[in-house]
Amino acid sequence: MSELLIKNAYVIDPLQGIHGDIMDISIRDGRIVDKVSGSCEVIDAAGNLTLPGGIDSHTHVCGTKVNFGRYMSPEDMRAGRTPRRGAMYPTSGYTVPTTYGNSYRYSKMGYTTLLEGAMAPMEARHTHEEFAATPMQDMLANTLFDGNWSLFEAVGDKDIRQAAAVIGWTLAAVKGFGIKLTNPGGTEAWGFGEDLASIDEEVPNWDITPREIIDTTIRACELLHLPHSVHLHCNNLGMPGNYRTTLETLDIPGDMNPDRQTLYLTHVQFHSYGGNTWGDIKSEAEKISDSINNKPQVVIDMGQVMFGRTMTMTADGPMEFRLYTLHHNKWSNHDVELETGSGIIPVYYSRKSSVNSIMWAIGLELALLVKNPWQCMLTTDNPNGAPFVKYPEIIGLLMSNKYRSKELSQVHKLTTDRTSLGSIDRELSFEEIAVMTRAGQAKALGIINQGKGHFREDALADIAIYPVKPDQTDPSLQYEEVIGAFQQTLYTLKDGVVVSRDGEVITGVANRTFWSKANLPEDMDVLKSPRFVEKFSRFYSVDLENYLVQDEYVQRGVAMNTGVNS
Amino acid sequence: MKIRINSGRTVIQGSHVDQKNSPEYFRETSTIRLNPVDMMEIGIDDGERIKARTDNLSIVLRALSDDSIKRGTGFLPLGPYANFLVGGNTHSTGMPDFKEADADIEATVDTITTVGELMQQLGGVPYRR
Amino acid sequence: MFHIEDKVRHIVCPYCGCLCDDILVELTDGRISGVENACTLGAHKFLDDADNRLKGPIMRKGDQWVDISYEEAIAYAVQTLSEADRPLLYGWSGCVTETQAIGAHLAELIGGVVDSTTSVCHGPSILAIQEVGHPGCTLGQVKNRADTIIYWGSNPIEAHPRHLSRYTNYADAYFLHNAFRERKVIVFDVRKTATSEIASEFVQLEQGGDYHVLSALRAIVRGREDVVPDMVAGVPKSQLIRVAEMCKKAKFGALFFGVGVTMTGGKYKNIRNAIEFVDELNRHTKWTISPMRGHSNVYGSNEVFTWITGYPYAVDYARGIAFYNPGETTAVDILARKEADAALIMASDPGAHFPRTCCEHLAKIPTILFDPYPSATTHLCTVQIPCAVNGIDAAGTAYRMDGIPIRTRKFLETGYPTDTSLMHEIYEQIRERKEHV
Repeated sequence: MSELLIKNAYVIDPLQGIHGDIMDISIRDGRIVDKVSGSCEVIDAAGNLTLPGGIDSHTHVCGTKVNFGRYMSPEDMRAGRTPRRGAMYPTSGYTVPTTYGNSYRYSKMGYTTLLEGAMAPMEARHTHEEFAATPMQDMLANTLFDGNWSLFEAVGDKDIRQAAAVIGWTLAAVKGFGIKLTNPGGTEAWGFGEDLASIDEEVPNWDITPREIIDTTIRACELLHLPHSVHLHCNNLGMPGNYRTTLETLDIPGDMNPDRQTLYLTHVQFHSYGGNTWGDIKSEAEKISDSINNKPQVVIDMGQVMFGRTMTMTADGPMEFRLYTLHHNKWSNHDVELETGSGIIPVYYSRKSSVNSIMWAIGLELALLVKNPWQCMLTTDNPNGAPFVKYPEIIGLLMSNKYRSKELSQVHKLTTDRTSLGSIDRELSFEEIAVMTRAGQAKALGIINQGKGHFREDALADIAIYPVKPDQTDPSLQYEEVIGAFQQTLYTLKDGVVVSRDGEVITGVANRTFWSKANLPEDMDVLKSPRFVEKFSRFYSVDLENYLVQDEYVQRGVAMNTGVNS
Repeated sequence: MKIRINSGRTVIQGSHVDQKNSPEYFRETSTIRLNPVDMMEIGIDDGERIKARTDNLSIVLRALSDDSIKRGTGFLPLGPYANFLVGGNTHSTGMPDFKEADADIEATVDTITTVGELMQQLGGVPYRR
Repeated sequence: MFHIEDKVRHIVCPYCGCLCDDILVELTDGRISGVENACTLGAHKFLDDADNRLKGPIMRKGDQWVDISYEEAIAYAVQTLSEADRPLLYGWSGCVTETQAIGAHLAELIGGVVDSTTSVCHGPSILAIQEVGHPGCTLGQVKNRADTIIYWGSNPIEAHPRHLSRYTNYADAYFLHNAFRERKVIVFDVRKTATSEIASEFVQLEQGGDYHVLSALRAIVRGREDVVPDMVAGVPKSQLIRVAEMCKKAKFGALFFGVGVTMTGGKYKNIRNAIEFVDELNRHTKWTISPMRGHSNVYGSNEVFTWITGYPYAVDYARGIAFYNPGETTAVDILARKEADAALIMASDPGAHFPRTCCEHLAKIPTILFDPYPSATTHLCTVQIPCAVNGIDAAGTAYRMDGIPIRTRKFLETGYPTDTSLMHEIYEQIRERKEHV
């Protein structure tokens, strides 16, 4: 039995309604308890901000395309090298660090849970191998279904039960967590070099539309009672005028789940563009946030862009090709048979570019215009908008109008006319930031009951203590101190163990992988469907028996049981 | 005669990569395919031997005529014989000039060394069990 | 006499980068007695296995070979690697990623260099990809969609015999009614090969002429055939125009290239040109390009080294950080400069595949070889440690040439230790030794 007491913590725990009380946190064997014995080890938080461990609900840190981003970019690896130090392995990379690089830097920022945003089922083993080498965080993998032929057939048949059967089987087969749709239908069209311009355009060779894919998948997700909702990367990412597609997509779901949203829209910054060309692009963040403010069934994440070099990587293959024809930078593409696509190109976001400056402003507008912080998560779609190490600066921008105005004066002058950022004076509070970086994520992902995102009794003792005293700090003016505090915790605890202290990772604990195990009635057993099994015997290039991800790959797996009510 | 030697995989070579000391591997990887006209010029028949020389080092190979081989070139399956003729310069790429060994060839009656003997020439001790 | 016969299915062939996973193996009395679905290369791998194994570790003493125990072999490896100033850890392409990962960490622990056989096969392809990227796809995408296939400097019928039947010319296709008739295969090579025999178009170029021919094709696709001379590296302009037209008319084209392009002429610049040719074609229709990776898990070594060190091969930890500079930190260069003072060779055979000067240096320094079979390197090494064979009596992860990770299957119990367990033991012993210094 190991016990630990954190004294004098300035706790914000939005899920419990604790709004900044000085209190003690008791920990026994890795979990929060009511109290501990008097003789146990004590950490004095000295009134510093103490939050549940950070959760990133949309990041790209592990798997085929992330690793390809590293593989093709020795220049990025050189840009972030550290030698072995104590318990820390050497690391490389700045925008796409090595797995240990990601893990240590997130840990230093207080993060203990990461959701990899896009795992192709066929390449799942790769993601899980990298999860095992990302030791400081518990991991979850959103699984790509945007071009899944078996799902397409169910959509074509308007058979929600069959769609649920395909999704449930696949998630269990590849040890995936939730459903990711990336440019639904578009990645399949890209198989022959095409893309889709609207959610009502038919997918070539398939008698279905993106709207039908999204709608059926949402219903199937709810039928399965998956912890997380459908996680959608909308069609037309990055295109001027794409806000119309986004608004139409926002109108698809009804409110179907009392515990969480029904649809999670990711990196909405990239989907909130007005105008018709790169020349007249402008923000439509107001229309997008108006829609979200009227739809409690929707949660978004920002996809904030920050200036500097980064790497774009997504399952959205056709979008990356368009980006390549704009930038003429090195371009990688990787279509995955019967399932999805992907692409990678490095970019440099410049404050001298009108387009990049408008993108930067739109992300901030969204976070400030969406009224309810539980509906807007803080992300950069790491590393697409910026590497995650920029999160503290984003926090500073959201908490300080002064800082924002200063930055706005430094970007391209068209930004003032083409966005509303300059006219917004809202400043987010520590509590709102806590919602947008952990509590909201825990709710949106459906992992509150797994002990994530709060300090209720029996919760996992994942804790971040930041060197800032909220009751003595005015973030509006002291934004630099706030940024510094969020860059490096005093202590990061995972499972009740101090894993990182003052920026040094000092030890590791075995991380977990959460995955969804759907228990399905016999009539939903896809392996009894000849059409499903034939995919493997005739069209996949691996045998069904070798497709299934073996238990060796999730040695510390936590199966989240779900299923269909019979 | 000067020729440029290309190398590559063959089915027989590939089938015996786990048996590098077998007679099959030995025979396949020490056999160079040459253009029949080139062979006539240096005065050898199918199955007779040539000495190939680069940088003052030479190696004995069995010659086989193959009219799909262009004049002035030869094809030697990849393996220790082909690589004996390759130098260590990679032009800063990590990759030596495996498929571009320029060699002088002439007829010979010398015998062909086995893989073990060849490695012995390079400083090793043949293992024969 | 009573025989125990058994059939095991869905076995993964550990030979080449195709990683065929539909092999059926027949066992009689615990020995492999038959193999179905495999090509000649794969069948030999399975059928000849039992008779070829080295029985136990051996050590060179003077000009004799003596048998030693696994404990002695490990102790030798631990001492040699701990005391080395410039150790080279090379090979890795025939073993599982679990072992490769330990190799990368071991290199860091002892300040050594870790490199895989990549540097002498598709290393130049990676250098080109690091310049211009890689528009690729999984092999099933080609199988289901491609109507036009190019093999360039590659002879799959002899090197990857089932590539054509599983993934390209002879494979079932979802989007083609009669795949075999509708598909066109174009072969570029300097010589006639078994593969050029089945091509619908064979382009025979002069040795070393790949860069020129690719440049000409790019010019034609861009509408600048006026700058192309009548003959390019032995190829008539009219043929190049015809081929460029075929490429543009494809609905889905796939270009596969072999070491015929990586080893000659401008090496990585050839590949860069090929990739940019495919980039150009993507402005007209869909094209992908893929290297024909040789060893079963050479791509796995690139993946693992990348997520651990940041670089796909040729990583030097001499200064504590991961340093990558192919041409300097690659195995051939380090050996040719006679820099390494100890070598660990895992599951590969530099004796058969390295330039002579590198072999000479390996024979001079302590060289520890992990290989189940006697090889050319056996004669050069100081200690050889036989281990279980990945895919026969050991299992683990391997990455197919297109990046698909597959778990190989263990179906025999032989008593040989796995390379994963041996490397783990060596790593731990060296780590403990370092802590006590």
